[in-house]
Amino acid sequence: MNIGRITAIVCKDFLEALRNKTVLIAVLLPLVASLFLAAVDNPQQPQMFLVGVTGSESRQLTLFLKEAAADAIVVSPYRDAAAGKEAVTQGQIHALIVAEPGERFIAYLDGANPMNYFPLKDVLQTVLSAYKGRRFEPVVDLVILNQGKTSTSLLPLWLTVTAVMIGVMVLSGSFAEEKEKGTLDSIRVSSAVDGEILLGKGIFGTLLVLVVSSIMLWLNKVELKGEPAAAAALLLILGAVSFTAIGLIIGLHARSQSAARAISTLVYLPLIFPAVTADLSPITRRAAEVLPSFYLYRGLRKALQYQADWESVGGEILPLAGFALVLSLLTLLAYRRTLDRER
Amino acid sequence: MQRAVIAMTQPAIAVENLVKQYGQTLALQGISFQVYPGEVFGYLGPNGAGKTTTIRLLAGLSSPTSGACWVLGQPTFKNPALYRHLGIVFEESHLYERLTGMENLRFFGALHGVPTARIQELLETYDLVKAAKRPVRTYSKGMKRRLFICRALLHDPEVLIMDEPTSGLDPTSAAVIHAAIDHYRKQGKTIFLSTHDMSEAEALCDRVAFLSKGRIAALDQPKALMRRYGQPVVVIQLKPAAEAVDTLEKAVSSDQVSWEDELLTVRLPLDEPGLGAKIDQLRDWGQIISIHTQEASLGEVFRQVTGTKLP
Repeated sequence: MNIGRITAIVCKDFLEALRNKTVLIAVLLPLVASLFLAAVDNPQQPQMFLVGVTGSESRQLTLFLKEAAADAIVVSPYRDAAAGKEAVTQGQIHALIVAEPGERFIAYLDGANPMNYFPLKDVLQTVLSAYKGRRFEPVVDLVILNQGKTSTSLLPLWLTVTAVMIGVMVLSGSFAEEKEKGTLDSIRVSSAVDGEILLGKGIFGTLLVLVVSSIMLWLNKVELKGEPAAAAALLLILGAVSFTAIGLIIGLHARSQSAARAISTLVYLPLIFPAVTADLSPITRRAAEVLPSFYLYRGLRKALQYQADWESVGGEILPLAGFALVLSLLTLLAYRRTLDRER
Repeated sequence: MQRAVIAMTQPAIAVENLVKQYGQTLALQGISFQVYPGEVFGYLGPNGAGKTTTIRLLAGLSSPTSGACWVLGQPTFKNPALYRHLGIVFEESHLYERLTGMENLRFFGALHGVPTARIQELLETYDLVKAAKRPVRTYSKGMKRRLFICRALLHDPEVLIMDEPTSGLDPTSAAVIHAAIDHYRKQGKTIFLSTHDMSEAEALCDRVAFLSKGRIAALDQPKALMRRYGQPVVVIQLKPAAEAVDTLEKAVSSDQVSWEDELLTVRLPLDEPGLGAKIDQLRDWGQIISIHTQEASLGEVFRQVTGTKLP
């Protein structure tokens, strides 16, 4: 192995990437999008709920709500329950209160959006209790722990998405372009051996993921030190190696750049989706456990959100290292087999 | 043009019974030849004859179905050490279009461990100093080809393989490449030149091989081939009398007569029986402007040997 030749391949790939609009878009897009995560940390506007009111008591209730809950509820009258329920079903309002005389009102809530459902339920119970002249008494005092910045809970997901995008999409396209334009042949008739060519490409992909991830963490003002920082870095390196290897395998088998992009788009979603939906059901969990993206996402969540130490992320680092090793060996085999077949 | 003396020592390139099959297609059907140190060897054939396949085999980018090839005594397949002595100019300029000329040469120079001074020297030789800081995508085809030749010469290889180096170039750019080949030959290097330009081969090559349908149809010095296969002709240019044109065109075979610069040109084989009588007959039909003998061109010899015509 010749370090000079490997460095030359890495530097050349960086120079090319900086002047390749497709690569720049693939790299800059997640970076720019990550700026929105920082916006989540800013003081948020209170959630305003759109609530419809109907029934014979609707007039009094509307007046009360406009006065007592103007900062949380926007009220609109409905001629009957059917029209109001239709509006809820169609997502035009978050809830409908049917206000008929008696002990209890009925409220129809839009269950399609779980993010609104629970806070709206609390708001309605509190406000309607007050309307009935009763005080809604909570029986538990809630104390929030881990009330860090919201972005640290979203960044692990975004870093995983970025690592997959760069590794799979960028590397597959870059390698397919080298094959298509014949520059790979130009490298192969130099003194560089197969291992150096692949290592150069792999290091480029890994460094690109690390650089973009570091910028993303810096933009979001995430300060990691000690073991969590080292763990996050190792997770990102192992993840980047795995996804770069997948990208190179795609690039090797694709006949053109456009074919490589099509294949990597097909691979990209199945790599990401199970990882982020792993907690939804045992099936999604089992599907996610066979993917490196699952371990990267879970490990980064532990490191970034919970400042986990080596021991805590060991369960993610070991499988991820296994993926990186196996996929790298597969890439070398695929390189030799594919180019031998073309021979 | 003075030919380099061909040293009859160990061949710089040796090809022995080389066969290459792609699926059902037999691209090369057992070719054998040797190229000697200091020789410019022309490899001639139409598109699809197997020239590029041979070059990929010689470059080690492809493995033979059977047979073998060696460069400087070393097998070419899976032998990275060979590339220290071998330079290859592919038919297409495989360069990084987004990088500048200088960045391309620096990259390939780093792969070969070549100092920057060598890059500068080549840029000056091939008149690319001013363009060196521009992205390659802004280069003309001729400039790209010159840069690609610089890339192939970076490590000063002993053997240079060139695949159609002047294909699609204007005469000025082609002349630069021809000068480079000549310059390289004078340094005693070996050049394997694949081309379908017969005049290029005739002017530059010490020996040529005719490749047709995956086989070598003939191999020798251009002059020797022309002597062996070429048929010298007598070229008669005449201004025919108006009333004699129809008669004349009927009297002479259609492949022997053509109109050139408003003159009727008749080509008759030098050994044709009754040649003198035919010339006398032509004199009766019009005014003879010129009459001279002409050697067969390499293109005509190729057509005669292989039965195919090069574009």
